[in-house]
Amino acid sequence: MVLDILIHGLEWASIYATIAIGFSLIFSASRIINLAQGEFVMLGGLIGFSLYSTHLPLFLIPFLSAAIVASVGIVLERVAISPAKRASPTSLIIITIALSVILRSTAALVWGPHTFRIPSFFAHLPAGTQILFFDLDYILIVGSCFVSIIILGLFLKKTRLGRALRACSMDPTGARIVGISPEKMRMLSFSISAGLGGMVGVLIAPVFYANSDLGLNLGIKGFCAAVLGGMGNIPGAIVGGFIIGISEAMGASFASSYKDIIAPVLMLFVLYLKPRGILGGRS
Amino acid sequence: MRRDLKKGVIFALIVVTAPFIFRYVIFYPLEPLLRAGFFVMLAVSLSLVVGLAGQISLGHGAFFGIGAYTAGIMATKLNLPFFLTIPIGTLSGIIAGFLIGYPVLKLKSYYLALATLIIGIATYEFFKAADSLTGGEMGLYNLPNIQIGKIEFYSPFSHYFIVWSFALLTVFFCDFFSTSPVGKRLKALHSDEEAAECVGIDVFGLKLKVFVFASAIAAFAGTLFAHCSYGTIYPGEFDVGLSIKIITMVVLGGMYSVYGAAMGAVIVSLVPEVIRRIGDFFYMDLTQVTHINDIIFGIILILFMIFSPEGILAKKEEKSA
Amino acid sequence: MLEVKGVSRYFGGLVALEDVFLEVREGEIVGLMGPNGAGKTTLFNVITNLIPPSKGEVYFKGEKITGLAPHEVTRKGVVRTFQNVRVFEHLTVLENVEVAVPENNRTGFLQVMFPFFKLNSLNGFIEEKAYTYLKIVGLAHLARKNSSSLTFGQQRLLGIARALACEPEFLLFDEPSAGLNRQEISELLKVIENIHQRGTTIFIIEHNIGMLMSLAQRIIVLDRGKKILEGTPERIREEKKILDIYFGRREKCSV
Repeated sequence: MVLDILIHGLEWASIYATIAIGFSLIFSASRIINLAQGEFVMLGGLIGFSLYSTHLPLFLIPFLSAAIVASVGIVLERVAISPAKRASPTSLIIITIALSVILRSTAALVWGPHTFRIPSFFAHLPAGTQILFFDLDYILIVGSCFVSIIILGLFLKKTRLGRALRACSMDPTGARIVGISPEKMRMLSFSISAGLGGMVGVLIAPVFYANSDLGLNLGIKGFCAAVLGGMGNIPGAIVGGFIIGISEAMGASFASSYKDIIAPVLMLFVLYLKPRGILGGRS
Repeated sequence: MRRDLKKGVIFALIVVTAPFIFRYVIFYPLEPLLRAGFFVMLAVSLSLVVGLAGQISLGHGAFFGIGAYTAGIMATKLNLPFFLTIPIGTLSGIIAGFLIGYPVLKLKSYYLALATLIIGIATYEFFKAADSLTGGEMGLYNLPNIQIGKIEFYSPFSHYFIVWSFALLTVFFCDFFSTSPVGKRLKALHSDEEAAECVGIDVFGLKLKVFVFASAIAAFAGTLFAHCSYGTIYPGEFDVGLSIKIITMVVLGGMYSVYGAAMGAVIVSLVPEVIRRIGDFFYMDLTQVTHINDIIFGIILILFMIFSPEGILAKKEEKSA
Repeated sequence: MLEVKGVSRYFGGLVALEDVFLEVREGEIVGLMGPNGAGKTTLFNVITNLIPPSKGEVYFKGEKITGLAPHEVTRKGVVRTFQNVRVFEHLTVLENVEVAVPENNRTGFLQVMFPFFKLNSLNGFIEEKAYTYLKIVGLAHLARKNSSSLTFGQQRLLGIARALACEPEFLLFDEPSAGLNRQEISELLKVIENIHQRGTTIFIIEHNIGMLMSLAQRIIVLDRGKKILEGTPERIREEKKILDIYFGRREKCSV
């Protein structure tokens, strides 16, 4: 039983962790809390659905969706964030909230209020195929999140661009002095976070669903995870994602109707007791 | 003082004549006007916290919901009469305001915004989750109408006038409040908390008091809402979107101005109606129009935040100060 | 009247104050000087409890004030001004002073709600009181102006008026002459002397040594968080150590 919960929780944990990384990445690069992060997930799912209808080769769809959402992220950053130079942090929060509303409503207009499902990416294989007792879809989700996190980590540690991003997060002024442009880093962080979100969205579409309300729910959970681990702290986002994923799985087996309240409550606890998060984010 | 009186009288006149014009001249239902009344109370109370004291609260809708649900539960489960559900509902808002405000107001600026945002989300989730108490996703129904003694008020007109009387009272009172000694102290702590502390102002205590006060007003509005909602309330009415709408109203109307917030409330309530009518004219689906509404308001809000974070009426107010 | 007993303040590894003992008696004007970073403003912050001390206590009129909230310290009669003034930008000049008046503080939420009509006269009373303080510093003619539109020197005076409105028995001035021109400084001197003559005890941080020498009856010198000298202005002037501190130490360098 406990193993079941852990396994099930792991799936959601990796999803929340990836979304949370999206939050923390943008925050670490630009001190902005992008409350529209969840909508990137939503867009990923919906775009994935549309791409599916065009009968493209299945393996291309996740990459293409992620890429398209990443571009949307860049557009948003250029259009709504960059011009708001003089805005206080709170105004920026309100801006990103407004952005999430716009994204959600636009999606609802374009795709309508329906909920879409796409078949598993492995539909062409015999049903019930498993590797080591795990469903292929499950492996795809957990595996992709895992792989993306590792790739992101390598990017941040080993590549010049990644190191520039980290430098910017530690000291934007110092970074500027050595020739790194915080504005470009902000744009980069938006595109990566959007891409990550989009990827999550398209990958969970077969297992879960895709509609215009998806972003709100997952975004909130991912946000709570990011704050839990420390906003701006990427390992913290992973930790936070895991805590919430596993807690929800446990909660679901005890009192299923209260499942959705776990994440906000945990986040409130952290905000009161240790506002910087478990692993200590940046201020 | 005299200029404010003129503003107030004009406002009151408009409020009194509007429903008649709506009903008998344009043949339009009164619901949007009624909703505007609630929003005025919500926006004006929030403007005390956000505008005067400078504390960003993104979860004000939660208190509206707490007041509404408490009154609703008192009415349906305990069969309490109207004149009891109202004070109990308001009291629940006061208690919630204190319990929430005490830890939250110790946080600094955007942690505060986030915490209040999450409080808003958490209360919404709670309304959905606590089936036995709140009726879960379906909400509460069979809520009684406003009943004073033997007279039951069920017509939209009566609802309108009752709600708007309180709305006007709230506006006048909060405006009066903002120019009172307490209001000035709040503005002082808005300007510089440490300096305010050093001239003898109990900064935290004052922040908490204004927060509780605003929550009480919101909860009171909620209790009225529970009795004017055609008998049902459901969680969807108290979600994050509500709190965002309220802060939009405050922002639009000028963060520092009570009348501005009231104006903002009216605009944000009524403009969607206008757009809806235009949409009807082009045979658009109602939900589509709602989405277009949200998009438009989102864009307006962003533009405001970029170009003038203080709101429309703020400039006028600054000069008169 | 004010006793600082063994106050130390550390910020991580940095020693801002170390074992400071000093005393200011009623009716005195005492100066506090020392090079930048000596801990003077930190000492003021600890006295008013904006920052708690890491060690030690502060007593006012025999009562321990360490641990009280800053606004309570102010209400006990210990009031400070700020080096960078910090006027309330959202308020007019007059209102800046009004909020400091004790009667304003006593007018809370309940008073606004219930004695609805008494409020007008109370408002008037507070306004009048605030006016008198503005007159003392010579800013009465600017009463209705927005406080952020004042010049720096005027804002400085406003800060003093605001501090006076708190009805202090003990006033802490933090570099009041910084950023002022010669004329403004002489006006400031007159104002401070005026305040002292009315019976307020004054503790003043200053870099303007000439001003300090003419004002203060006694001077305390801090350096690197420690009290190193104390005495009358004449005595301090003669001490060689002062030159050392202000113009750099002569240390043996091993080259």
